[in-house]
Amino acid sequence: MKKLAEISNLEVKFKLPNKELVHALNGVNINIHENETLGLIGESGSGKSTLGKALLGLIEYEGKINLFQRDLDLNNKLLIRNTRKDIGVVFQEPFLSLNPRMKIKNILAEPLVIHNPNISKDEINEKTRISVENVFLNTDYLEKYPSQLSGGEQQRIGIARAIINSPKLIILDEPTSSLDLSVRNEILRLLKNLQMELGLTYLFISHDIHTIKNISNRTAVMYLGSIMELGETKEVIENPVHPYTKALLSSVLSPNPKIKKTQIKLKGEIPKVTSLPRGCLFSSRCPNPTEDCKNGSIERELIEVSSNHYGDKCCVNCL
Amino acid sequence: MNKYNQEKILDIKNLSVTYHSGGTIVPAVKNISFSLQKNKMLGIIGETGSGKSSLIRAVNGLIKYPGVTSFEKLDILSKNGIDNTFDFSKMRGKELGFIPQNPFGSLNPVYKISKQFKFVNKKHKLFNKDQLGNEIIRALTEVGIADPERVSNSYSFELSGGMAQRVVIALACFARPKLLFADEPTTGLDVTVERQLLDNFFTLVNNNDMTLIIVTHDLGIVAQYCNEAIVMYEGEIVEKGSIEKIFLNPEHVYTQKLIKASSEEIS
Repeated sequence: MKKLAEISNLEVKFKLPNKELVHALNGVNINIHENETLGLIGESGSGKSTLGKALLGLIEYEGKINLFQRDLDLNNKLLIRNTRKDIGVVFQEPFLSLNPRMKIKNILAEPLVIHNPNISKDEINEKTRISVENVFLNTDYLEKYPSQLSGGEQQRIGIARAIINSPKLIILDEPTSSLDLSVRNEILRLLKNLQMELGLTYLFISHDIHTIKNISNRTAVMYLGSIMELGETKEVIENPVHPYTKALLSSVLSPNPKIKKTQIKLKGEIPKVTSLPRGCLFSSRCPNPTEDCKNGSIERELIEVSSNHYGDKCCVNCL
Repeated sequence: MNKYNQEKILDIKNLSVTYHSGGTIVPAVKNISFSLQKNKMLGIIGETGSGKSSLIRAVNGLIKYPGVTSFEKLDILSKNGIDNTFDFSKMRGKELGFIPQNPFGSLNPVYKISKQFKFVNKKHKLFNKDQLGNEIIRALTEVGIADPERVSNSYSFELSGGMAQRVVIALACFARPKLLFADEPTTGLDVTVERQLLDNFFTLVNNNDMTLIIVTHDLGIVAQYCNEAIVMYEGEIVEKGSIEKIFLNPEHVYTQKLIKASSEEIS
């Protein structure tokens, strides 16, 4: 399988005005394979969006990111610009990510012109037309403003803009969480179609297990800026190995009143990202942490528990 | 028959809410009628713009101009003839509780949490000074707060979203209202936090002889915790019934679509 992105030992820290450090990502190792949908699931503050931003070269990081067989280098502005051409982004709030004073055709043309300065008018018209048709909207929409569109239509435009430069990778940051149930499913269907037609690779960030189950081939579960579990989506959901994944899955309420699940409760709350637990990141909530987990000398890495299914080494050994 | 009538805690006939903007009139809730018996837990489900929030805001007298509420009958807790001039503030807190979606929007950032409980106490004269401190701690413990002393001594901005929402629930339930309204109380919270909070919340409602109306777009919450459900679409009730009926044998096409969408496999 061809690797589109290789991320190793990725760490991101933000400095707060009071000089405290936010540890947003703490040693993430993950590969994105060509033509797959990699799901990132986790709760607020687990670093899902930060990982997406790091791939786009939007934030400073430590560690290594290799995208499309080139090492990302934040000092090389030209490289970053060229890399971004191959990455599309779709954001959570469709309305907030479209300029309210621009017509849809201009919104779609903007990334085209930025990455192809010599593009002709005819070509722009042709490409914007193809891209709205790709998201199943007709060309009348090109003359409209974002406020004239419904939430689902706005998100379709968001997707059309992301695919217009024929990118290799699309980062979808919670693209469906602000949409109603029925619209959400339409968008997921559209994304699946586009992936097949255009051979796209998705990094799909979401906190909704139902969505992830429907769209991702592989899923990574994140907690406190680190990957706790990684594997084929079906395998992760049906046979979770990490206590955090188990707690997360047991918390989801079924819309079938006959299916009653008891929540596996974790003690405490998610620790503050400004003061991480020493040792194992999960140690403050683990049901039976050892002294080593709490104080320190553990290696943070993923180990294979079954074929292509990985779990955090410390936690897998504890349980 | 009479016995059932007495147990009715809410009886609404032909309630409408319209919003007047510019020259146009937008109907949000269209001639809705329903009644609710004591100790029931009713879930109101609907998508964006279905009028579910407008409905419960209207019942609480919270719709202000340019919104206009009109109804043929609105009986709350057997108080007949509540009309448009009725002063809801007399019922709020003690008889009607309201839990809004965003906890930070309803907690005052300049007062400590304990002070905000004291305001409720002053208004409704619930406990004397000696008891009050303990009662605040008890109320916070009840909603699943592990360190109530710290929380009661904090400002709202020092709390996490889950904690702040627990405080709002504790505040709304402090005077033990008979009828409690919750408008998307857990939207925006993480699933593990949401689930714990809901477990605490529904235990609290069950143990204290309260009746609950919860508005949500999350079918799971209604299916797992409520015993009756109303499905709204474009300002109208399309279906009403027991949880089993709505979720296992939905009659209306819209309800069927909604239930299907929540568990659909997308290929």
